[in-house]
Amino acid sequence: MAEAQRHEEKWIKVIVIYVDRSETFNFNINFTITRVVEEAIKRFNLPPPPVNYQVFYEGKLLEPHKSLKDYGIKEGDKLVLVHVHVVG
Amino acid sequence: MQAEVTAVYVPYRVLINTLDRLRSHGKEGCECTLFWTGKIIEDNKAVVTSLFYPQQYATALGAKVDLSEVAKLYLSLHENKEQLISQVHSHPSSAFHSPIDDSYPIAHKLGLLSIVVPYYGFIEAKEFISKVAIYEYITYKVWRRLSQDEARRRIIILPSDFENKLFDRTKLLIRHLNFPAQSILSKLKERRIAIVVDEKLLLTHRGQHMLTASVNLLARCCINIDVFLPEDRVTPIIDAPFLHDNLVDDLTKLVLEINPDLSFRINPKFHAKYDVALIIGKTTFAEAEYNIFIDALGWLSYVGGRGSEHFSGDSENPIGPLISASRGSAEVFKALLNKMTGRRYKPCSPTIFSALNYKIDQPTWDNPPLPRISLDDVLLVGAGAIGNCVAYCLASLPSVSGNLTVIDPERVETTNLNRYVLATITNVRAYKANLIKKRLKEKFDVKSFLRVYQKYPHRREHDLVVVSVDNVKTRWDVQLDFPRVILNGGMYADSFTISRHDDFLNKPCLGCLYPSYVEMRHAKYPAASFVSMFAGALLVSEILKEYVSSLREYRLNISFTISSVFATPKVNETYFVGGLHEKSDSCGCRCKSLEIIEMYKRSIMR
Repeated sequence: MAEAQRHEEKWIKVIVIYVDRSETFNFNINFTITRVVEEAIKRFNLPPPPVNYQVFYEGKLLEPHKSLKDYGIKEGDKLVLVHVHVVG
Repeated sequence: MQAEVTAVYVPYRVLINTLDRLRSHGKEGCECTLFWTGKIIEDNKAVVTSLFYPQQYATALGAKVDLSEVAKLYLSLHENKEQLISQVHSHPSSAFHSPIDDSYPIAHKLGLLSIVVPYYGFIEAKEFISKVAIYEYITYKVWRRLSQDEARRRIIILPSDFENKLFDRTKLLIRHLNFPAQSILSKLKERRIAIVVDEKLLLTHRGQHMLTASVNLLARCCINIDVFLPEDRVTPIIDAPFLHDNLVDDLTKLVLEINPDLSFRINPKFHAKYDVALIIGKTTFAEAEYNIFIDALGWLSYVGGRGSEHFSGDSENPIGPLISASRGSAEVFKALLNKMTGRRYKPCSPTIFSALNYKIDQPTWDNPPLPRISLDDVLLVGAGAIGNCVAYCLASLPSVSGNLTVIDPERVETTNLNRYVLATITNVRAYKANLIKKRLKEKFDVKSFLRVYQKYPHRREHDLVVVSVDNVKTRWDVQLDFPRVILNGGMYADSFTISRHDDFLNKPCLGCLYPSYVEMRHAKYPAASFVSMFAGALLVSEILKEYVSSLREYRLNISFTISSVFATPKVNETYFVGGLHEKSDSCGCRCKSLEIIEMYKRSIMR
């Protein structure tokens, strides 16, 4: 059963928002947040490394090693991609 | 990649709120970071609509924004279809970008601006641009500082008296109607109007013309407007200035460009209680104290206190719909004036007006469609309020194109925006004639002449001249150049006159209509866009009647005057007056004199 779940091939369309742009991605629900960041920075043409970016879902910061499924993210949900902002 | 934003318009209230926030942190000895968000308008310009103040960890050395606040900002941009325009932060002393500022921008967005404000924001608002340092993000972690000249071109702070200037002529109109203008303007801010569109009309030409024009007209004299549409996304099917591919977005941008401080919502989640609703069609709307209904079809225009039963089907002709928008907007303004002064508003009696025979009580039901027409070098003298409406109407006619020459030596000022239906804040200081050229460029070959009519070298070469100037002398000079047909329009406060002159020897000329010389150029006179739109649409209907043989029987016989779109001082009824004029002994052109008659004869021999 656990084995079957690990290989579950469920794909969902998710909207990722970065600043004033948004893109729709086709993600497997088992993708980790790190994978989501990698895909997103590629599509938005943002400078690496992925570790500089964070993802928010419904106001909550997502942990990089967890999957979309762990957070109950479903078709049509919106994720927000951010990175550290400091002025001085 | 998005195109570079060429200029950012910043409402004065946003600047003041920005400085207040920076100073409140400064008083604690801390820097502060803020964000300007806004919308892209025409020509890749932007208007700042709001200031985002995030939770942050701030010290004398810098400020770090909470990441959840950044996410909140991005989500808000997405939901409101807004853009991040600039990050703004303060320094204790001089303004410059530090290595930290370079390395940690709020977003890797090319063209993003970063404004560094010195002295914790304790600078005068009027010297903002000269004191701050402005940078543009050009590539990863690389910023370019804008020169002072560039900064002044890129960041345009709207003046503190912008609203006063925008409502300047509206105030004069209110005074002209014997109401206290200043107190009414402050009360106007508390009044909310609704524009409601019947679902049967939303996807028709007539419905979209009435909606687009009503929003344009009312945004120039009201402060709170909500629009209710049966759908959130509407593809425009009409030709009209400012419309591109999504009516909802286009109207939102238009209003923002007319008055960035106007509260404008389309299909708001939370309804307010409305003072007046302008209802396009027959739908019901229970949330307004007064409902004013408009409808139109082709040459016919309807306004009344209940929905019209007269019209069905559709027509691409915008004349009737534009007149309905004009008359309906006048009624809305009238109802607001009554309400704000504690008087009871009596909704106007249902009336149908025909732009073919100018009858309001006995309109012709003749409603012929328009054939394809190519104008051959029509001359428009005067690109002011009525000239703008003539051009708006021409731009809205799908079957009309051709050549047009526009003469006007003046530039657009902020005080013009209350009645220039083609002008927005982005056009202030542009030549009026060039503004019309720009708005008509997709359909007409427009030549602009940026000096006075008297200096125009081809003044005797035009067959049809439309005169919409603000001075009598130019009218006389046009008349004495003897074009075959002159169409004239003039307005003052709530009244306007249009006239047609085609028989110099036997019928009243422009000098008969304007016998005495009254210098109006640069005079401040009361005016409103809903008056000029009515006049402009009628002038265009006269142009069409010149070109379409089946319409010639409806050509205007000398003149038509509406003495008041309101009735003063009761502001209760709409008055229409038609008038004929005799050839006058005291004609300003001395048209009965032998010398002038000889001049005319020599002219037609040529």
